[in-house]
Amino acid sequence: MLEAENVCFTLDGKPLIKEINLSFRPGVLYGILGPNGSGKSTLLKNLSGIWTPTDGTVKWNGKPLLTRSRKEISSTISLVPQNPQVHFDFSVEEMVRMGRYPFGSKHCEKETEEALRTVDAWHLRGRSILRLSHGERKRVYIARAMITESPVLLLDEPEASLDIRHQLEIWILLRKLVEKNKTIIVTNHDLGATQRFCDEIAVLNHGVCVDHGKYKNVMTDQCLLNVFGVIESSNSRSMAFDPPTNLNLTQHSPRQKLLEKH
Amino acid sequence: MARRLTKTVPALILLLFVGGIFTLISGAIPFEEVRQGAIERIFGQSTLWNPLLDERLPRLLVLICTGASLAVSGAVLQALFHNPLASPSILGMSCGGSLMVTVAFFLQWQTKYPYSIPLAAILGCLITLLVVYSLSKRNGTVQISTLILTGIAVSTLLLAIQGAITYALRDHWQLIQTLTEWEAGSTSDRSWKHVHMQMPITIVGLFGCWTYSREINILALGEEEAKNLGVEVEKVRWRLFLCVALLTGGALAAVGLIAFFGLVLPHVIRKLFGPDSKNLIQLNMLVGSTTLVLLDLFLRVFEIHSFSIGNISTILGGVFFLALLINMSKETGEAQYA
Repeated sequence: MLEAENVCFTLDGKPLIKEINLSFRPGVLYGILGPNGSGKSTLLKNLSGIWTPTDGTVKWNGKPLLTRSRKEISSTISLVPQNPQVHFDFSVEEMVRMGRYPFGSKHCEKETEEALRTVDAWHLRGRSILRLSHGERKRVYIARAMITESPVLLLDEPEASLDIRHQLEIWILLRKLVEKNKTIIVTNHDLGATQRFCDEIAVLNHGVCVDHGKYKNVMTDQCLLNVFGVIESSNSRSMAFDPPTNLNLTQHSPRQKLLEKH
Repeated sequence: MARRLTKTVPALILLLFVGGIFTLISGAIPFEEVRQGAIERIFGQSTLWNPLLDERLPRLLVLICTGASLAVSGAVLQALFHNPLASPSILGMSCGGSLMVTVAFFLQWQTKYPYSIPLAAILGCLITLLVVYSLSKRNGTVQISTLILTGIAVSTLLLAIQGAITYALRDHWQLIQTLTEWEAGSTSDRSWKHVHMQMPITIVGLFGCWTYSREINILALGEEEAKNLGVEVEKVRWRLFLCVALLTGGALAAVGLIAFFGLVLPHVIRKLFGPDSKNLIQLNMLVGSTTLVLLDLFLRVFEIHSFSIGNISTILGGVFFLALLINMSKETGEAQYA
């Protein structure tokens, strides 16, 4: 179990997150909601051990995460960053293979192919990462996180820049990974998708966790008003996101098989 | 890519071999005479000085080590700073090493301790790299523009200090001549002393970079990404800084200042063969050695005595650097108006 105990993070004297106390259980898909600048990405970077909390502790199975080696942390927690900067034209395949670094294995062709096919990016394998659109790049980063086979996946706005089809596929994939007892934490801005796919949510505002629990219990009109400054109308929830229940992915049958496998 | 590499690597080895053979056989004294003297020396029939064994062979080895060192250190720095403009000369490492070597010459350390020159050069390179890196870091990240400007500022400061020292020594004309020849990147009069000074350092530096080639690839994605993927960023970066200082310092001590060599070659090779460090390191070793051997051969065959290998490299590299800057600013402009 991943736990944040009184986690605070300050940058240049400005507190970005304050006293976050959250527990993330295996087999649960968590959504982190909050306005821009509320500390969602900062929380993920602290949970993944990339940033060291200025106060408090992140624990994995009861032990402080940062006492482990970087390789151990990376084989436990994998982060899909929001908008990573790439400076050199690595190929998609090279990028995904880097995910296997903590395991020391250089030969991972099978795993790479499987991960890329799952996110519908196998056809991009030879392309330079610099020449991909934001959405395609996002899928490659998700494939790289999957190849680590880590029990905890953190995704920072995974659906941003993705078209509707790929958004749905990513959510379905995350649900399948949760069924395999993975802990998945997703930050996003889509209330409809969060309500539909996440088991539990946490709401951040000004770096503070204002509430957490089941969507229907947390996301009340009062919470929407306090955090986002709006009240959700009765029909906007269904307008925001209502994917077809019998989603047809038969156009890409190998991918569907892989999705089902995961 | 793999097919291109399987053709390129043997072609480069062949070119280096041919260049090496010509370096060994070309010279004022006829080769037949030189060969005879070398055979007699090898079989203990003579103890006379031999141009092949005492001049051309050590010169060739120094050229190979220097070319490989500068090109590989440039490639590693570009990946570490994820910046195609990073190189030992742009980051001020060459100036730092050069200043320390000038101080070592001034204090006459080389007469008592022959290895003081490479040690001074390595120390100068390492300290300068750490200073430039620390000054360029803002909020845990190194900005490209800040890095280049800091490198230029530190280089200017170090050159001014070096200029002041050499000006104060203007009456010691022998020392000034030694320093001038060394600073110009001269390859004449290289002996086994230079090979002994440089070769072990080069082997250690190259081996270190080769060992960390996977980490170099991941570090090229940025510090946070490298941590995310499991690289012990601080530890690996320190070790690679040390390897780069060994390579640059060793080359600086053996041959002198060869500016821009570590900028141009890694940049061109990355464009042609991609950014994978494993390929980049072996290709930079081969291309760097071959280019320096052929450049030296060109100067010797055409008897160009007015220019040293360092002068030629600086002129060609400077033109390339300007072209690169213009191209980058054009690309930025096009991106803004796109």
